[in-house]
Amino acid sequence: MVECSPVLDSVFGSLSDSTRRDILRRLVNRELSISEIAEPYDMSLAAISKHLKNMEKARLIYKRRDGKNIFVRLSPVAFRDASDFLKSYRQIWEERLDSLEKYLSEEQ
Amino acid sequence: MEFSISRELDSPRETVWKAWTTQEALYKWWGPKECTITDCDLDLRVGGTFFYGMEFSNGTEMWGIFKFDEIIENEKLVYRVSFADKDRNAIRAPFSETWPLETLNTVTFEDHNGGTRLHLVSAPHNANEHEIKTFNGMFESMKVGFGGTMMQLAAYLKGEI
Repeated sequence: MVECSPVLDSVFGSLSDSTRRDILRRLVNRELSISEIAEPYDMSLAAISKHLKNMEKARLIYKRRDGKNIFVRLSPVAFRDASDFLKSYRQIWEERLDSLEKYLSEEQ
Repeated sequence: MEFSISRELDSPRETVWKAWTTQEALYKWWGPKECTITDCDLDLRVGGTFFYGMEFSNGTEMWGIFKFDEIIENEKLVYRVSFADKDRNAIRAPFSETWPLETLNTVTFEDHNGGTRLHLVSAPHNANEHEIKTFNGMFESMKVGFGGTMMQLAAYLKGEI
């Protein structure tokens, strides 16, 4: 059936939050500093840091220090695993319904 | 948050219902691709179960169990489903520690263009906070097209890494 690593639990836990999903979307294009990340949200820097920590733990992002600034980048590995999983869950159902359709046409 | 999938079929509702509710039919079509149904035992009544074993091409064996909560002939089937061991005990999903132990599934059968429209909805049942998070994270991501975005991203990054 669906094969994937246990790390997916933390990935999907992390993706269950809309702010974190939004941050990820913004990181697709380029890396951002922590203050750039925080800017559009009505949230304290501490709250943003907490979100980032969660995402870092899920290996969705990683941080890079450049002098005084910390930049955040998207990490592709967990993304790829998660994407494969999402694809295969629906795919199993599609295949199962294909199989039902085939069964019904053979029965008639 | 819930997962849903639909399919329009040419066969009449009664035929589609039979395919879902008779053991020999399920034996033929229920197993996903690349897997053989090894064991299949249907007791169709409220409180009854459907227990099935699956053997995958790599030799792995897995079991699943339904518990029927509602049965309206030719219209609606409601059941809780979980992964199981070979003694029919519900177990955790092999791919995740926090996938809900049970999901509640509702399958509806409707007339559609001389055939049948089948609709399936699946949601966590009696789930704890972590299980709901895992389930929601997964399907919320899928719903907003994260699956697609991620795939494109992965393809893009493949060239870059």
